[in-house]
Amino acid sequence: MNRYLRFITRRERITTSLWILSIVSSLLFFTALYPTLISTNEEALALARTMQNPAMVAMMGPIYGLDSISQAIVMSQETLLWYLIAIAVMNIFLVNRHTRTDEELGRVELLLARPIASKTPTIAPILFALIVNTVISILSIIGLLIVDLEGTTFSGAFTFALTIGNTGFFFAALTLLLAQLFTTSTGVLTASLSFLGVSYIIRAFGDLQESSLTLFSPFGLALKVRAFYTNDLWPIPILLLQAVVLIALALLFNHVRDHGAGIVPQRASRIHAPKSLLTPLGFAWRLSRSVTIAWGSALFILGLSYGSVIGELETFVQSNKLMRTIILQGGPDTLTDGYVALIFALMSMVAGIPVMLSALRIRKEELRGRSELIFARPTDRIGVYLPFLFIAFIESILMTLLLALGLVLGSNNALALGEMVRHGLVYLPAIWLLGGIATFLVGVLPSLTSIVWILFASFFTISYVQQITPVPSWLSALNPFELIPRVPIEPFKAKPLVALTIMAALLIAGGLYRFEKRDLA
Amino acid sequence: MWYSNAMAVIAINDVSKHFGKTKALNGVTLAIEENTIHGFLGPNGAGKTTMIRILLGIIRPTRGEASIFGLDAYRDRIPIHARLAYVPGEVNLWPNFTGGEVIDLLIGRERLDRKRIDHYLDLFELDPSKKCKTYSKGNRQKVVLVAAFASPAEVFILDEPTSGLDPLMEQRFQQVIKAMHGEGKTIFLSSHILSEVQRIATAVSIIKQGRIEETVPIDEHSNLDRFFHESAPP
Repeated sequence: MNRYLRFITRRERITTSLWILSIVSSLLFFTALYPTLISTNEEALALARTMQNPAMVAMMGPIYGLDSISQAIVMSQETLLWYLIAIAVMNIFLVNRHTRTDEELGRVELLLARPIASKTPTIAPILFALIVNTVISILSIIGLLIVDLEGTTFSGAFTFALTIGNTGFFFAALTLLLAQLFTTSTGVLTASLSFLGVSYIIRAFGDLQESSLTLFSPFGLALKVRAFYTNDLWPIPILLLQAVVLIALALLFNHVRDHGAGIVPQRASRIHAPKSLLTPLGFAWRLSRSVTIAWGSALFILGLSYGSVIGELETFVQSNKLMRTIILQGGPDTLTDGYVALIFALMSMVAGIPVMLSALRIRKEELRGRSELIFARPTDRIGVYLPFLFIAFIESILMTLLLALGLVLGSNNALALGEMVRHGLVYLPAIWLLGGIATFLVGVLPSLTSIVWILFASFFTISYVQQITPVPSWLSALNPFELIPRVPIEPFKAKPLVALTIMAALLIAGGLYRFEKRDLA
Repeated sequence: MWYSNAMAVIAINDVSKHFGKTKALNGVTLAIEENTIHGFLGPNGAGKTTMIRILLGIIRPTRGEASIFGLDAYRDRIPIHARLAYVPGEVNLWPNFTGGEVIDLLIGRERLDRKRIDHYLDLFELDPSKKCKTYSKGNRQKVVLVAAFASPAEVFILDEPTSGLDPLMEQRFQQVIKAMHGEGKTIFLSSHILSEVQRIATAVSIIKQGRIEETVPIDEHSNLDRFFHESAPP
């Protein structure tokens, strides 16, 4: 067992070290950020109050400790859940790597041929996870005490860090069990990550209704510790006990099943391609869909969170000078309009990311060495590329709609859906221009497609900096997103939209024309 | 077939390809007649893959022209590809597609023939239900071989197709090639392994530093060795 543990440690020296480093350093970074966000208790209270609306509770967990507010309490409320999710994901991948993945790839078989107990490959990964989670907990305590946010106590830091470590261990145990049930590593990952997602949703509903439903979720249970306030430790042994039960079940199933087999019958994987895959559009969709789904949900969640503060905008802005200058710079219009205009100006750029990714996808196929396979078939190049651009076009609209929908739902219907959709759709021509630049580069300068990301980063930076300090007008005129009229605080103008659309169309036409002709990699 | 038998199925006429200052191909002229197994033999970096990419219309020659079935390899690539199958040397597949999905995708909906696919899956002992990321190099190669052989092609362009296969599979591969030859197909087989080419090819061209050194029928192969050695010691 010792040797096996050392073996895992050796294989994990880079991956797990990176995970530990990134979790602990983001803990340090974000905790150290709080004194710059809130300097007085009133600001802390104001911030905590903006959190006290349904959408924020659903997203970040219950609000507590308003009667003895401190920076540490606000920090814990706003960040603990994210660390829990991060460490859960780390543990899921870690345990899956050393259990079902190894078994699937036949590595366990090699090891079992050596004189080790048949349970060792199952027990060693969970022991390793225990060590890693303990290390993270200890480093977190030290980190929290070093940053020493206002309101930090040792028992608070201890509770906070122990909650992170324990939640991690719970998910390690869960994955160990699921690795016995499913026969493929992808199956194990899907099941574990779905469990994580469902736990998050159950907790959101439980916290919203303030019901005990939330205790059925490991996240909801963990957040009951109220770190830096009452520091209730009772959820910790419950989580531990659950983990032990999961591990016991895992060992039991491991004992009864055959090597390489699972408990859940395997879904027959596809021997034939579905008809849709054999059409150019179906092929493009198969390659793009994960990007569409990931960015679609990201924009929806961003919309939800930005929408959720609408009701608290007055309090929020009064307590924060910077926010006031940013949101009110558009003039004496109402606060909400300025805020909504700002959100769309910045988030439309984020909506452009999947559009660029889809437009660049065919280049990725080239770089991965698959272009010969694709283009040795009797298909023309434009016929292969166009469906990707069609998907990019649909994505541009879909992302905007999801952002608008998120804002409306997050605001609890304080914002009107029709209006939000219109404010968002105004930015489509700028998004198309991003897609146009990407397509042009794929056709004309294929080795320099990263230019589109540099441009995108500059546009984003200009737009961002512009909110805080004035930038030269020629600089902001270079940014297509700044050419779009900022409805509702600016009047709508059609001219720049038409101009951007025409430019995007020309870039796409030029890119496609060259793509048809040029040498492929 | 509408082109005359005297005409070559694959005709390469004074083809050069320059990448910047590198001259990958330097005036290659080659005619491959119908129903031959033509070995395209040369060391690594001699320009074999560049030549094949030109034949596939993926890249355009700097000078000269290449044609298949009497059609321009670059301009008329779509009608050509409908009658051609290709096996790359370095096989990169989509990691999340199953082998079976890739085979269907490469053959295309109009040309699918399940019976033929199943026949070659059996022959090469390939499990098509696995995700491509779990396949070994040899298994990835089998995926493209099955797709190529199961498609109704008249010309097969194979770029070092056996580099990942074990000896038994290599033997089956050679049987299939011979059977295809028996059905009247034309096979263009690039390789850097002399013995493999000697065993099955009916003619061999030697390419070295972007030039064809010689084209010989295979029964005169006894002196092929000399192309693979630096000038012999005195």
